[in-house]
Amino acid sequence: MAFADQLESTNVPVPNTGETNGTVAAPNAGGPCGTAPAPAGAADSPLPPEAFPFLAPYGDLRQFFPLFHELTKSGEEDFVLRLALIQEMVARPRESWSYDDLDREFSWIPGPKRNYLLRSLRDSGWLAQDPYDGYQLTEVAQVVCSFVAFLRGLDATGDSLGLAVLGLEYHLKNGRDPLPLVAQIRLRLAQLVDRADAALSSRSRPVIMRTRDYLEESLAYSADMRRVLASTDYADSRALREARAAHRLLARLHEYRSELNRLVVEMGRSLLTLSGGVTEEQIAEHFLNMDVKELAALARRHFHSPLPAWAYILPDILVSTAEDFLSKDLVAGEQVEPWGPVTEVQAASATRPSSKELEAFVAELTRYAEDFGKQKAEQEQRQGQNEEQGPERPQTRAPASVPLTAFVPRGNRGTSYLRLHLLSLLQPLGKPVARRETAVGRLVRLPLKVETGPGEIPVREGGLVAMSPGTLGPAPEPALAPAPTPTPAPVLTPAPSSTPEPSPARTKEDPAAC
Amino acid sequence: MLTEADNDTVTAILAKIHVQRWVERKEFPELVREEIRAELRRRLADQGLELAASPYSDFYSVRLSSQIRQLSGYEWPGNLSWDANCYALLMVLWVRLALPRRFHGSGGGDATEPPTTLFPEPGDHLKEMRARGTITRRQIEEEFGRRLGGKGKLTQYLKQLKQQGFIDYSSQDEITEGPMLELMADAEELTAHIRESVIPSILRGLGGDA
Repeated sequence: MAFADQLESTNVPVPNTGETNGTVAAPNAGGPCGTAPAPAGAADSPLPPEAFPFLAPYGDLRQFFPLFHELTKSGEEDFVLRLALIQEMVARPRESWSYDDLDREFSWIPGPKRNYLLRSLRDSGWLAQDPYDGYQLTEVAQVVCSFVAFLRGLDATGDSLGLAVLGLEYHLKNGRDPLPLVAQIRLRLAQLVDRADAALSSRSRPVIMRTRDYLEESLAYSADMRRVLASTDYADSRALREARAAHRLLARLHEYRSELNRLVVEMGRSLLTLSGGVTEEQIAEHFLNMDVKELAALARRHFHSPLPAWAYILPDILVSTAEDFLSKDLVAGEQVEPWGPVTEVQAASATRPSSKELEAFVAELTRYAEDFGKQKAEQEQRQGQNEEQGPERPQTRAPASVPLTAFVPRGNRGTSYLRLHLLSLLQPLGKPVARRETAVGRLVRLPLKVETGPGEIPVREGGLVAMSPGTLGPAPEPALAPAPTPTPAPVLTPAPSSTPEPSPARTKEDPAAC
Repeated sequence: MLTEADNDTVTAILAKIHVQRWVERKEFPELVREEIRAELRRRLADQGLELAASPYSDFYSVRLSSQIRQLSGYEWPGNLSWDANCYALLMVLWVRLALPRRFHGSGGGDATEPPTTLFPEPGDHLKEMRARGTITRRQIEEEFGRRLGGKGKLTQYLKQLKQQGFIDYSSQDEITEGPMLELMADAEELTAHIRESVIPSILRGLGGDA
C-alpha cells in the first residue's frame, strides 16, 4: 500500500498538503515518555509508528528519545558538557556514585551547575538515584554510551565505512536485517569511486596525493568488508544486489588506488623543484632567448610525431563509385583516367581529348572563318586596285555569310542541339578569353559572329523539323564593331520520334537556349 | 585474467584511437585496470606503437614506440612540411602551457582552488591564464613572434600545430593546449634537460660566470 493511501485509510491528514483540518487519530499519541501530543491540526503533526507498517520497526527507538532529547535540549556547549560527564562516569566504572565521589571526580564543574545536571540527567533516564548509594547509570544509558563512544575521535566523513562494516557484523551476529548497512556500504564505496575519478581528472598532484591517502585509509577496512559481505546470508534479493554492487565497487577502488599511486610516481619524475633563486619566469625566458634552430632541435628530439588517423573504405560507397565509373561510355582508343587524387584528375581534364562531335564542329567553323578571311583579303586587294584605277569603279561587297541551316543540323537531334549551343561560345572580338589549346578554346577565339531572326525555317536534317533563321558571318573589326544588339535566341524544333533520343539541353519552350 | 568482454574493450579502444587519433580518458574508465592497460600495450607493441598517456592529460593516444623511434627514418615525417620555426614554436608553447604545472608547489592546476584576491595585481591575469593552460596570440607575438618571420608566418605555424592537435583555439585570442601537447612530449626528458642544463645555466648567469 502506498504511503499516501495508508494516510487516507487512517484518516491522518497528510502534512504539507493543505489537508490539515483533521486530527491525528493514533494510539499512544503522547509517547511512552510522557511527551505531550502534538497540537491538533498542526502541519508538523507526528506520524505515530504504530499507524504505519513501515514505521513500526522504528518504534522501539522511542526508548532512546528522552536520553537524546536531554543531551540536545540546551544547546551545543551544554550537549558537550552532558556527554563529557556521562562518558567520564562510564570511563571510571563504579557500581554507584556517591555524592562525595561526584564532588571529588567532577570538581571542575561548579557545584550548583553539577547538581542541576545530575537532576536533569536523572529525570531524563540517564541516571537512577538511590538515596543511600547515590547515582547509577541506567541500562538504556549504558547502551547509548557504548554507541556514543564510537563517535569520539571519529572523522565524520572518513570513518563511516569502518563503522558501517562493524555495524553490519553486529547486525549479522544478532540476526538483524543487513540491508540498511549493506546499502550504506555500497553508497559509501560509490562516493569513494567518484572522488577517485575526480582526482584523476584534476591533473593536480596534491589532489591526487590527498585522494590516494584517503583511499588508503578507507580501504583498510576492505578485508573485513569482504569477509562480512561474503558471510552474510542474503534472504532479501535487494540486499544481495547491494552486496554484489559493493564487491564490484570495492574492486574498482583497489584499481583506482593503484592508478593514483602510479600517477603520483609518474608526476614525481617530471616534477621540478626550484632552488637557488631561480624562478619559473627565468626558465621560460631562457627558452624564449634560445636560438630558433636550437629550439627546433630540442622539439624534434623530445616530441613524438603524431601519427595520422587511419583511413577506412566503406564497401558500399566503393562499389557504388566503381559501378558509376564502369557505366561510362568509353570511346574506343580513349585512354581511361586512372583513379587518383582530385587535383591530378582535374589537371588531366585540361588535356583530355574532346568528343568527335565537338572536334568536327570546331573544324567546320574554322574552315568558315578561314574562308571569310580569304574573302576579306581578296576584297581588300580588289579594293586597292579599284582605288588606283579611279573612283568610278563600284565598291566591293562584304564577305558572304552562311545560313545556320547549312551547318547546324547534323546527325541526330542531340548533335544538332550541341552544335547550336556551341555557337553561343563565340565571343565578340576584344573580349579577353582563356588561351587554351582545347577544342573549346579554339572555338572561343574564332572571329565569327552569329545573327538570328524571328520565325521558322523548315529543316529536314539532324532530327529537326524547323529552326530559327540566322547566319554565321565574320566578326566585325574591333574599331568598327557596333554595340551589340539583342537578337532573338535561335530555336530548334525537333522532329517527333517514337524512340527517345539523347535529351536536348533546351527545347522550343526554353527560349534562353543560346 | 582478461575476459572476452575485456578483450572487446581493448579492441574498441584501439580502433577508436586509430581513427580519431586521441580519445578522452573518461570515455574508457576501463583503462584504469592494469590488466587492460597491459593488454593494450601488448597489442600496440606488436605494431611498433605504444600508448601515449600522461597524468596531466585527459586523453589517450598512440605513438611510435621508443625502439622504433631509435631506428633511423622514423623521425618526424617530411610530409608535415614544418620548418624549423614551427618546431621552435611548439617548444615555446610547451614551456608556456605545459611546463608551469610541473613546478613543485604550483598547485598542479588544482582547479578547485578559490581565487585568492578580488583585486589582482598587474600580471596576475597572465599567471592565471598560464595556470589554466592558455595563452593569447598577442603574448606569443610579443615574446617570440618576431623571430618567427611575422604575423602571417605565425598564423601559418599556429594552424599547423592545431592541425596536429598540439594546440586548440577558436579565434587565436585564447590558445589552449591540445591533446597532443602532453601526449607527444617526452616530459620526463624535457624536465631532466631543464634540471641538468637550463637551471645550472641560469644560476651561472646569476653568479656572473656566464
